Amino acid sequence: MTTPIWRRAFDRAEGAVAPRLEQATASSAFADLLAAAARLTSLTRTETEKASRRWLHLWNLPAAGDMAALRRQVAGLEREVRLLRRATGAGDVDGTAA
Amino acid sequence: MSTTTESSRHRAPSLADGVGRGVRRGWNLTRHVLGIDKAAMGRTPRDQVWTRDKVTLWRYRSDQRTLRPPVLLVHSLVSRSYIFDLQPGNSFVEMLLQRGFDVYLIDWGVPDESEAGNTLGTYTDDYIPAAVRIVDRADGHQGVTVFGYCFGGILALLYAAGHAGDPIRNLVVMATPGDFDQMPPAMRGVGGGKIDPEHLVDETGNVPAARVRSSFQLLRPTGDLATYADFWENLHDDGFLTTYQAMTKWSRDHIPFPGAAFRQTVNLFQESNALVGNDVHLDGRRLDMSSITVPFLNVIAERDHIVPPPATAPITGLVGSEDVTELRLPAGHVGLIVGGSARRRSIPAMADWMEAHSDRTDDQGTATRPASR
Repeated sequence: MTTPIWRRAFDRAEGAVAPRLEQATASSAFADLLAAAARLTSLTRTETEKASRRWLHLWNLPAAGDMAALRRQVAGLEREVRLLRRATGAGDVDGTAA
Repeated sequence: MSTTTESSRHRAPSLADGVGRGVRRGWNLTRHVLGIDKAAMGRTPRDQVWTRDKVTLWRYRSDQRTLRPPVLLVHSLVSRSYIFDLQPGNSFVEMLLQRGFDVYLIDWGVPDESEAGNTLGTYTDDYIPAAVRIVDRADGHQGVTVFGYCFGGILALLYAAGHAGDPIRNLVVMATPGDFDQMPPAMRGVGGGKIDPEHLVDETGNVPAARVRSSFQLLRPTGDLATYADFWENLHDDGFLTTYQAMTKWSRDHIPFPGAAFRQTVNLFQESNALVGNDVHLDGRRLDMSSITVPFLNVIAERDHIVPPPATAPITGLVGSEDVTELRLPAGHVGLIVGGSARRRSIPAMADWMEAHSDRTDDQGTATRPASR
């Protein structure tokens, strides 16, 4: 079966574009851009959470930050339970394999 | 006259072929869009042997275990383990079972807030040693062949270097990064050291799966488009569609990278390149790779675009084993264990080495003689 015309055209275009894109994503300028995007995303998340928390707390509603804090507390407890289980030798569950 | 007849004969089947292909394309597209008869993954029957926290040790069922020691598969911290057992007929596990190996897999589960504090040491000094002990005990203390894939190979190396007295009979690492300076830029560091790792960690304390996936996408920015083109071109092929569904699902199915282990990875490997310098300090102690003295196999994929050969090759010279083999295979990162070439060439080559470093057992499971040395 011969390669369809559209596929040959795609491969030609991809062959021309891909190396340049790969070069661009490997560049220092792209790393700067990624760093800026990561900072911005992190900042936006923090600021949005702060603003929405103030508003939600006005109505006595929990904000995402409160939920995250709770989840971290539960996770902390789970880790402590794991350590205790380990210390008492009750941490492992044997399965069904012969 | 005869020429016309010949030509008609040629046209008729080709028209029928064309209609047939069109119908199959239509049906496969419907199947794909509606999710009918989706590729099933990880279907080889297995039993849960042990669990600790979210980690599970599986043993694959087999009635033809004729080789010892058992093989323990260790996979990466950011991908799903079903890559080892993708589909019936396209499964690394299935082929090892057919060869007579007793196959175990350690699965990390999906990390959440509870795993955010997991360091690399959590895996190399806790989970893996425990799993190795259980496998070794279950098989009458014959030792274990530890087999690490990609980042799982790093975990296997760190474990072996830090636990020289453990019952490791053989160590195999496959497509494992050693020299991070030779990694593609997207894998080499967090933006070449420009991105603060803390900016990549989310509120769970882990690097989210979507971030992990996008870092792989950066390696081949047009990769998704090329995959869609492959899909469209081969839509008439039922077998292709099944494999396409399985592979695209796996390649998009990452798991979060536990935050503490991620920070260590950035610091130890991406910034300090400590593995290739044999200067890995983990949780307060130095792990000397030359203390690994068991038979060692380093599998290198010659067309690997994620962990290219120059990044993998230096590992061969790091270990202190006398019995060291470097196996270069004409495959990509995943093509080592998935696909027709893996079935025909890569997996048999790896299995040959493991078999040569195993014992054949009799019906009672007693080791009788080296398999093929």
